[in-house]
Amino acid sequence: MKTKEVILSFLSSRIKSLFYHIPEEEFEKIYEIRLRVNKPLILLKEGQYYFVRSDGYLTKKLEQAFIVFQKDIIDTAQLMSDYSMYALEQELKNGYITLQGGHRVGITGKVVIEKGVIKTIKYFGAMNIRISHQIIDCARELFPHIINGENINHTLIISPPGCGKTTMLRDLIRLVSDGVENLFSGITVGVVDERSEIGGCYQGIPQNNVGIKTDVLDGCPKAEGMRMLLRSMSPRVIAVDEIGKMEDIFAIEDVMNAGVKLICTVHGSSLADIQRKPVLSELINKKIFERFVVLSNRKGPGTVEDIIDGINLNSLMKGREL
Amino acid sequence: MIITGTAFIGYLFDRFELYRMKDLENIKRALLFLKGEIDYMIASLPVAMEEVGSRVGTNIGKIFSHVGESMKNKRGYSAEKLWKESVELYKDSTYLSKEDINNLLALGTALGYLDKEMQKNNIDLLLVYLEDEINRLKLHRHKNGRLYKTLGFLGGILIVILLY
Repeated sequence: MKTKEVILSFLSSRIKSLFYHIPEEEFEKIYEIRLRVNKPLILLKEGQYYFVRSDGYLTKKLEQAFIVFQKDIIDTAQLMSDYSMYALEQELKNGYITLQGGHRVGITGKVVIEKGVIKTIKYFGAMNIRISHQIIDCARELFPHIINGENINHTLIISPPGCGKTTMLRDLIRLVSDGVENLFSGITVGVVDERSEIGGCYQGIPQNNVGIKTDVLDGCPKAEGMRMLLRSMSPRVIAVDEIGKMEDIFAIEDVMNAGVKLICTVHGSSLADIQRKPVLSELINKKIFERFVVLSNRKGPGTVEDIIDGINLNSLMKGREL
Repeated sequence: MIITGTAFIGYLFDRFELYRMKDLENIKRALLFLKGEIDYMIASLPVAMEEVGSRVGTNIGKIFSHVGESMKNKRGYSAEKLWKESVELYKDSTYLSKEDINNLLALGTALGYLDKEMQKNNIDLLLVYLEDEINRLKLHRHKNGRLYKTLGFLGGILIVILLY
């Protein structure tokens, strides 16, 4: 199924009708659909925010904007949960659900607390539908900087939110797993996909192309998942998205001690930004990562700003662009 | 012929209550299955509805199967609307009263949106109604079942006497 078809199948009939006339290739440029009760529907398309008119055309004028009602959000939530909100209580505790195809939907509303812990969310007030994009070969030019003979370098992708960090990671995983003709023969990759965004797993099966030698642990906490993969699947590389907790760092050390290579991502705008974060600065100071890749949105999501050698912290791009 | 006709009407009155009771019992069975599917199997509602429909069979089962199928089609409608559509489609092939139908429709208002506890409470609410109604009908039939048939027969005799 194409992205538009998948996303529309999860939207209430009133919202769905707004997108009918948008061609598939234009829909592919949408990164976020934001729904808020009694507020305008907002799209993030090619880095710009737009309102949508009732006839489906995009506009910047607030007075023409289509207004979302509570019923739209309730109906959409029903469709997204396959009319089974009760089956998603675990996911709702984290504030999001993942749709078939790896599209992530953030949800806010009334948080229900029971015995001091979050039980679920009810009375939904807003939704942010983040459309997952698989761009095959987007990491192709970056790839030669990552590999090291028949293996790869420990790599950390640094990127602000919405700059294609997960998309880049997914394509790197695919390239490492499948290999590249005359360059790299491909090795086993284990992926801990805590938020189901990398593989876009549906009932345990990756919907995105993550390579022929890739095993995905879907919905598993990162630290535990990395150790599980080490014990069970003997990967040569382990890939995880959005590290940052102390327990992740301990698990990363276990992975490295086992001689397995790592590809990770982290939220940040530059290497200096990461160095200011206590947990992550330790990783840099210990020179654990051999490559840092800094992404931005300057020329659209996935712009490679810099590739840095993790040992001497020198730029490998030296002002050049990929 | 008149006596046979009126006796048959009395018989039908009795049968109508019996068939309604069977429909209510089938709904009760379906809801108990549904509760189990939600509680223990944590099945998605479309799958649970289809499963319940095939297990219960009859016209009541069709209401559940049809709504399960409609949910799978993902037309963008709420569970409440799809449930109403299905109940409306099959209500004429059942012996349910207007009050039964209204109670059945009320189940749809909370379908699919709430958490597990609330789903179960919603089902329990209808189960309480069904239990009361089935008990009332059983008692009523026990008391009035023969009465309907006798009244039908005697009514026929009365008409014959009056006419001739």
